[in-house]
Amino acid sequence: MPIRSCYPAIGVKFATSISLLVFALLIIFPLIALVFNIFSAPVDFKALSSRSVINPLILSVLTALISTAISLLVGVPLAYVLTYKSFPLRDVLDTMVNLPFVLPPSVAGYLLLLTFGKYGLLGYPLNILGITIMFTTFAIVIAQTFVALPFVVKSVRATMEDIQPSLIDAAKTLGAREFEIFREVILPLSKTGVLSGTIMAYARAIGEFGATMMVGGLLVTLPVAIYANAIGGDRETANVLAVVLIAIAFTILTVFKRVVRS
Amino acid sequence: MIELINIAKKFKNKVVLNDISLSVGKGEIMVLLGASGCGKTTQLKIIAGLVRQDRGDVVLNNKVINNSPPQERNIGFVFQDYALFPHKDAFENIAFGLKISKLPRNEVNSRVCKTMEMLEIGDFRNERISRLSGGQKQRVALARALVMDPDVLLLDEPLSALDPVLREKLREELNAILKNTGIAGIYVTHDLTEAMIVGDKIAIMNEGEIQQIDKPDEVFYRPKTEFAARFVGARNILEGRVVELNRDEATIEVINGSNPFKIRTLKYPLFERQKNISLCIHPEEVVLGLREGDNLMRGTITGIIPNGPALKITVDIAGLKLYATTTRRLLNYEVNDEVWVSFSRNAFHPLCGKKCRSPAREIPASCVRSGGSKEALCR
Repeated sequence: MPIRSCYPAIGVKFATSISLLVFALLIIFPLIALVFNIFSAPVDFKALSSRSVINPLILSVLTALISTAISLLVGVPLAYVLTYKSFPLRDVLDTMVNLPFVLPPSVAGYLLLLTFGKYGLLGYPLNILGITIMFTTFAIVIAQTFVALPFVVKSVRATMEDIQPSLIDAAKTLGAREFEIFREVILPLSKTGVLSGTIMAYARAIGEFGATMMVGGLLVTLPVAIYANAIGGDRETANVLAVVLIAIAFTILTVFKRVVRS
Repeated sequence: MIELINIAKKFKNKVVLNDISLSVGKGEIMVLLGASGCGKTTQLKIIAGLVRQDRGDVVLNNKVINNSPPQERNIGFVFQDYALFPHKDAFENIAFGLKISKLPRNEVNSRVCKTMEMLEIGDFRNERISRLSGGQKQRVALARALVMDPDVLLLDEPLSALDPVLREKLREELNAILKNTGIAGIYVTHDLTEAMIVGDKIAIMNEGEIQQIDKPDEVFYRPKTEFAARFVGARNILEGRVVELNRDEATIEVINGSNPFKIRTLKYPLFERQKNISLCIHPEEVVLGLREGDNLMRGTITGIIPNGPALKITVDIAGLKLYATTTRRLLNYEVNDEVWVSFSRNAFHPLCGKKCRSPAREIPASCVRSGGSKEALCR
């Protein structure tokens, strides 16, 4: 008996050690590598104020804010419809909302080119009206929204599905109409989902690379700038940009944890 | 006054309600009594407008309200899980409906405070719902429904989530509150005692059908169907044939045991010579150990089960299993002992077997339906 019972303990220890090792290889070592790199190629902190850092930073922070706001405005009603309404092709809509989760960002970028490009489905008529979308800030916002929206929908929907149906029935018997039920009952009780969805959407938007690179043209966001500097051999700038992006990611994760805990 | 006329409902292919008709007047409380899953809650939801019936009419104060949404029915609903809004405090929960109907703040405040005082929950005004006890939540839920001054109040097992001691205390209080308000109430429960205390009338339900609607005592002592008899505790069902009829007495040959035996009962109008009938008798009417009575026979005790201060005893008479109830003090027997079993001739009650499936009434001809549109007004 004692011999048998110690096998699982060894098994658990072994499995834990392996997973810690993999974690170290994937997360900790890259961070250490970044620190080493910063020391071997000293960071010129003046670079922080240079245009090569400030411009991508401002562009990324602002576009991510706008795309998160759009994701919220579209995502919360979409989550509501998917949770509470039944209509034909609802499952198809549900799958389409989740598509960006599994779609490679380059495909997303290509689809946006096909839609909003000069000769695209919407791009062509817009072009005739004198409106250009591709390779503008607006294109970046569209690309970010495309990938961030499912985070809002998924997160909000999860909390909406947890709301007891009897609460909605109670509100109806007390005279509340659909919008009042949404405003007074469903939205306040989905607060956690809305907050965590917002945070995750912002994180996804600010980190968007593939699609943004395809539709951004000469506009450079933080992740694109890191890629360009790393490939172009400007390690100092790449280092600074990486530190900034990691700092943003840490902040977002800390806020997210607080929200989830509350 | 609320009336249901021939209501039927299916979920997928399962019949949940079949031909339900009942009416509850102002100041009257109707209890829907039945096991879980017999359609009681669906019936309440149909009345409230939360579920649409497949057939039949819901009539409120002589007005067919089939097509009115729940928001327009003015029917209060106390849910089994209370359904209190967890993000609002007690006051806000109670004020919810009044605020939705955009009443001036002063009126909202005074009506909520009055209702809270009536239900003695004024001290919990600003308490969060999660901090209230089960009994307090129940009162807040009741207050939230009552403050709207509804025409009908629906209560779906309002005490089932409470512990037995609190339940006993609250059901009497609830009864007093409902009587004071004087509104029509429909109260769902599976607890017979609760039904007897709260109800002016009891409707016994089984598998989507009403088996009997009567005053509590009638249902208890004169159940009409076998299901109703078993549900009110008259578990002893004797199948027999009328063999002799006198002026006020009948002799029945009981045939559902292995050896037929005869008993004497009062004569009921439905008795005819040679007619097969079912009789029921409550366990407390089965007397053990006394060598006297209208019907006296020997039996064997086959089981003794303690049930609080009482004992549930099973006794075998000529191959027929009967249930008896007595107190520990009065029982000097053990399992397998032979015992005298006796019952009075007026302890038996015949089960006529007729369920309440006939319509309560047809919609009066004067009740004009406005071309299939929203509602029909009774003139």
